[in-house]
Amino acid sequence: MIEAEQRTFRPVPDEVEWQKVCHMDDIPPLEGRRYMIQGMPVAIFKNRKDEVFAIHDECPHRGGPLSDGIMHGSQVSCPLHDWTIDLSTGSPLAPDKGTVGCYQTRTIKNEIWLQFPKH
Amino acid sequence: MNQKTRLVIIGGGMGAHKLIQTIKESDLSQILSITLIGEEDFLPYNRIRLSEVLEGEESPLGIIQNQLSWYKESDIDLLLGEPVKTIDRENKFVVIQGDKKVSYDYLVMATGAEVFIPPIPGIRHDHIIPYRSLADVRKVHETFTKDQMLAVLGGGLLGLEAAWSLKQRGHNVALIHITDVLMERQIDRPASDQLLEHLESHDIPCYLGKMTSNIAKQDNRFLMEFTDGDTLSIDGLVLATGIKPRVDIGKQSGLDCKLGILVNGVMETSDPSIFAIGECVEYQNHTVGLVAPVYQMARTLCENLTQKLLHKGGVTAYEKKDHLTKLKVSGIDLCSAGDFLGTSADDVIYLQDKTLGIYKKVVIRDDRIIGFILYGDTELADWLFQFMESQESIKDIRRTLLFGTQSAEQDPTAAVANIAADAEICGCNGVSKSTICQTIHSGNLTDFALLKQSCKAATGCGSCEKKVKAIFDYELSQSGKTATVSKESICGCTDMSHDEVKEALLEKRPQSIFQAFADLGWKHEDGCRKCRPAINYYLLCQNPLTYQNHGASQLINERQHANIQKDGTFSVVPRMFGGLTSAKDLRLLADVAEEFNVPTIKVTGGQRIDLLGVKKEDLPKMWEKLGAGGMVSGHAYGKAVRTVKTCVGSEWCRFGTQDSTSLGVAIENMCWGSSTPHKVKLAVSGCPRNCAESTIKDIGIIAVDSGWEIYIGGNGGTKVRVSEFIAKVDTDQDALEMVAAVLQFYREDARYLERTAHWVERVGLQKVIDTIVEDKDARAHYYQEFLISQKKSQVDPWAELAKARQTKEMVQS
Repeated sequence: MIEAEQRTFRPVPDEVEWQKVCHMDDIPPLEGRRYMIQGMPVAIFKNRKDEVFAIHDECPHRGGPLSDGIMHGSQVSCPLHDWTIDLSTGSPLAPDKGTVGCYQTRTIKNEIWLQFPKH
Repeated sequence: MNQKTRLVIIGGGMGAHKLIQTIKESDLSQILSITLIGEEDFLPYNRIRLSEVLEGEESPLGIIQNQLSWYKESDIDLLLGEPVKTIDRENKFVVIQGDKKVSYDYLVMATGAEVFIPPIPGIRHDHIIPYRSLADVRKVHETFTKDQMLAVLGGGLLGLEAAWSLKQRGHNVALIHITDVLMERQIDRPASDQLLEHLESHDIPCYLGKMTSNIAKQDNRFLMEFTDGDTLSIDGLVLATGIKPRVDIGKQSGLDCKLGILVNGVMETSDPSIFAIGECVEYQNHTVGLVAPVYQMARTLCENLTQKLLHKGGVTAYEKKDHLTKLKVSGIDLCSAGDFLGTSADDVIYLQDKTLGIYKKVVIRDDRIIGFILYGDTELADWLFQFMESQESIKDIRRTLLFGTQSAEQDPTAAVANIAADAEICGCNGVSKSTICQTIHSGNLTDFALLKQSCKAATGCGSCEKKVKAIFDYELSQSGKTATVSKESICGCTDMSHDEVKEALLEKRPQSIFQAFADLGWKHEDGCRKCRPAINYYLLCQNPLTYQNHGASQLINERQHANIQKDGTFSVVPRMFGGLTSAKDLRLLADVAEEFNVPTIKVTGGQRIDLLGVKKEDLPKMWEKLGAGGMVSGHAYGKAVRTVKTCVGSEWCRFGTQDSTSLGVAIENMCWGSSTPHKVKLAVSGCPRNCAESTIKDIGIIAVDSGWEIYIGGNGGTKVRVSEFIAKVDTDQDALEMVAAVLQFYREDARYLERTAHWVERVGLQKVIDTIVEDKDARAHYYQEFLISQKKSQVDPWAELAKARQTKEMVQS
């Protein structure tokens, strides 16, 4: 099994700002969409309870686009080799190892906001 | 060095060619100017392949080893068709035709050998032709017509190849051999008997133990008279009666000769400026007749010259070695090496299966292989030969020696114990044996499914599953445990199996995937990546007209109608019905490929064209273009009907018995768009030659004169499985109905992600035959059901997606 290096940043709390990314209706339930933000691919997911998750859109295994995976509960399974990643922690299910960065999310007036490092 | 050293080679055979080739690759090429004087009016050719020219399968030009330019490049003077008259050793020049002199510093005799003509009265005649060179082959072709009765005299390696080639060319041919064992220098009596049977079954009568006493001329024919009183009347004779070294020029010039030109271990003759290599040579009382020792001599000479002229490089003296001899006759795998007879004191291990046509014999002295014969199955040849060469003891592997390295598979326990701890078992996920063992022991696992899940071995392509299972079984048995099998539930969301779920769905008839989860008491309300696509498929199959496909429950390939690649880009494969295309479609593909900068365009195994490396955001625009030009999705990404591969069939092919292309197109038109438990590949071949590879397809159709044969359950992937015959039908319409009925039965009966091969193995071929072939009503029912299910599925998904312009799916910055 491949232990992947961390491919993304984790925002430091004092230097963050909130950014509006998309509308709730842009994300179909249990699906993911990729947005390029500050040059980084970000996968945004919504489940059937309208809970929103945002995660760096590269699987810690071989960099597969997680936004194209199958979402269930608070997890997504990568379309390339089926690694299953927990969207709230960025960690894959055992025995796979590695992590992928997660973003804080907020929903205000049906709009999805994400927390990013300040420019 | 201004003046190059002049090396002259007499002879243009395989030895001379090898010498030139070896010199060209060495430092000698800088300091030598090479002249090759060949008697044959031909560039050096591969004499081993002469039989192919005799057969008419290859042209003389086809066996030339290097073209003229190759010699020109290296400044090699070629004097071809020039027999050497004399050698003036004192003044160091060679005289050829027209008294032309060619001076040398060093001379190499590579004059080869000629056919030994046995002293039989009447043997010198135009229609009795020695078989040795291209000129001989030309003479055979020019002299004899195909209706004439020929004989080959000599049942050695060359004679057999000659007889076989003449037979293939269409001649009536008999084989005459002096002893009662064919190829007695290479094989023993049992192998010869088997070979004899093969030749006679191919209409090559063999006269063994026949010593010819006289060849009498009778009008235009010959009467072969044998010492035992038998006779044989023939129109012509080809001589393959062995070879003798060509020593004439050497002898004339005063070089020491016996049977051949005498050389020492560095290929030097009695004149230190003259060397000799190849079949003209005698070394330690032996002459040679195979190519391997000839090549070895050429290399030895090159080393010697390097040391002599460049004062570097050690010379390894030529060493008489054993060589592997192979018979080059199609349909016969035969080879031998070393002392294959042995003495009464030696051990012999042998195996003979006349039905399979297999004979294997290994001669062993003091636990070491000294010779062997392999007939019918020569896979082990190189392996055994290595043991023979290295003289490594085979004591420990005697029991399985005749079965080779693979024999371990017959005894899985031993095989598993012998696998090294760090050996990689699962290549997809990089899982080693030690990881598997650790997972078993640390987790105290007794459930194989759980093992796979825990260490991920055998969860990729699955080809290692048997091995992983063997390790699992072995480890459990070592620790005195027994395997437990949890019921094969679909996934962790339920305890129900695929079959139970399908039954329950039919009973409850939920109309959405989440309703199904609720009805069936799913543990997780969203299900998971395993059960969601499965349940979505089952609902779609059971309710073709009412169920709304749930995109989020499909794999991305099916959602995007393209095949995701390792870098996250997609490949797009438009449908080419039956593998047919047109100038217009090709132009469209070219335009689209250019417009979207497609980096790779590849022809697929399913007879269509794959545009690889398409960016996700380009997909809808690309489909729109393709759709406007009339092309639809090839479903190359889906658990769906993929392709119907066809051959050109009776429309063009001179062997075709039916119009396989048209039937293939009709089938693809009928079933494209259908979703299936796993991918389904079809093929239609126009005759039993089966160029469309119908025997490794999920559904394969092969034309016979009176109709179509239908086969199912083939697979050409990880594990090849040959499809099995289920029915013969008379008309195209019958074939269409049968295909549709089988497909629908598979759609309804198989478990999700179960290929037809596994399905047929699980339910048994007979069940399919009973349901679809024998039961006319059931067949009609499944056919109708299939047509109904197709009503909603034959909408081009690309057109739909392009129309909807689901840009929200696409990347936004």
